Amino acid sequence: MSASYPRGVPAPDPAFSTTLANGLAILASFRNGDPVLSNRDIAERTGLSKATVSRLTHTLTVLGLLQFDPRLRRYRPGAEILALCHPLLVGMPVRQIARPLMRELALVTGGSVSLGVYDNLHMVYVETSRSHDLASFRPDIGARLPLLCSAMGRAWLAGAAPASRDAALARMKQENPMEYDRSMQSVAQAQEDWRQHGYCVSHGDWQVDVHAVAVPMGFAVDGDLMVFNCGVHVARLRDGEGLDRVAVHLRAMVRQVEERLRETRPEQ
Amino acid sequence: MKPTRRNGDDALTGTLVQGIDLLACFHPGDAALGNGELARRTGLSPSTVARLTHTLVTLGYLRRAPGQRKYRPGLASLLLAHPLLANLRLRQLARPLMQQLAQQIRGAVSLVLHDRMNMIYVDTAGGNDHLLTYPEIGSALPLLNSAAGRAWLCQAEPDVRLRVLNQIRVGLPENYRRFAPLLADVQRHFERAGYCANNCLWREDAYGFAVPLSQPVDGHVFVFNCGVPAVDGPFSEREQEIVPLLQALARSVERLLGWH
Repeated sequence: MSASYPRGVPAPDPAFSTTLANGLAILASFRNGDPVLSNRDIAERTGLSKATVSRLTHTLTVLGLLQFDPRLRRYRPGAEILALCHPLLVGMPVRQIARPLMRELALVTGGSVSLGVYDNLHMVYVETSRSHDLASFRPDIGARLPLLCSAMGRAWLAGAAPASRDAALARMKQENPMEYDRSMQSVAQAQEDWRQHGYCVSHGDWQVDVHAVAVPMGFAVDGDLMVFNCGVHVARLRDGEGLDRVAVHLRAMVRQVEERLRETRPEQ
Repeated sequence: MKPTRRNGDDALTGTLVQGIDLLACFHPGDAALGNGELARRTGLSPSTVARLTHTLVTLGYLRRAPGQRKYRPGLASLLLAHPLLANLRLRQLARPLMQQLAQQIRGAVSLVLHDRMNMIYVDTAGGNDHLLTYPEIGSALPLLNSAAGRAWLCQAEPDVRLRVLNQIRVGLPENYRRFAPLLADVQRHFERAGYCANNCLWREDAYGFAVPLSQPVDGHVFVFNCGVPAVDGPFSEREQEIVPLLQALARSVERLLGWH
């Protein structure tokens, strides 16, 4: 996200506000998973000077986007970040319609069911439902998945309009040629799977212990082709049959979501 | 509320505040907004708005609506929320219990936390998704007239509470005038009974009941909140039914967190 104008270097584009970009880059520096960061940590991660960082963290704290812990003398993400996401989340009717169906499928399969949207060479989770598997970390809303080695990314590529797909692949080839070369065979296989069976798979290609199937919706909603996946821990899938069974359930669920969406939005 | 937070603090970075204001001026249900409407809502000049929207589109916080010179919220803000949501083991632990309770009481059971003059929803389980409007992640509740807000106020350190009440007095004078005088009674009730309630003071068609966790998690005081529609039964009956279940939920979650 901050990749195009990295590390606080003044942007060549005069219409670009570097200060705003730097403030947002500070919030994004928590994405590596550190629960708290000091001004010094943030300066290291963003490449900004300490003086700039402390001015911006002060502003972000007043705005509620950061919270200062006086005991630790460190910052953590503030609750106002959730409020900033609110219009985006509410503006996605598929989430609300799919939620109860996703919960049901998570229970039936013993896995986790997510809904994702393409963004900037990744898929981003906008809704997640899981059965009670607390054993390990599992991605939540806002998680980013790699496009080429996740079932969800491959399903997006399979279902997207040719122009969007080609543009994404061309950018991938340019920005990450190694990953591109490594993945092209699986991406071609995924296209084939999608044509023949109506779903794409990943056998632990992203998270080693999770096998996943993914199905794109049959039409774009507000310009987005949304994709559902279902990931199941490998220990629960005794054989190859297991994933096929999950795929049958997932496809049926996606058809149901499409039907319910058409009832509320007849133009679809 | 927005203009007041800028006054009297020279150390605030103007452009950053303006950019965040612009993102925050999208409301649920808005179609895409053009620069003109954004300028009207934020009070910023059209040229400033154009520069901010350009920057926010480049960074993914806004996106252009297909075929229009209008903007919609982008996915980048959701990426920022991920650390907050994924690091919350509390949310993962509480979810199945919240789901169960929601079904039992035929209402919504939520986990909320405090943000300046509001309480913000972190998660909601709905026993019946059609029963109530579903409070999404990030939606806000008022402090003085919601059960969750009252529970937070009652639990907060006195100096923190005083500061927040002052913010409300200045920023939301009407809300303060109406509901602040009730707070002393609310507080006495909370100290005796360990929960707060709201009998149609926020939404006129719903009751709220709230119980806070006994200590902060990652610096945040979390509150469990139940919302039920008023048509399902009289307030006192629902209170007697729901409050013990909600308190049991909060104590179970505290046990799962290893507190007792």
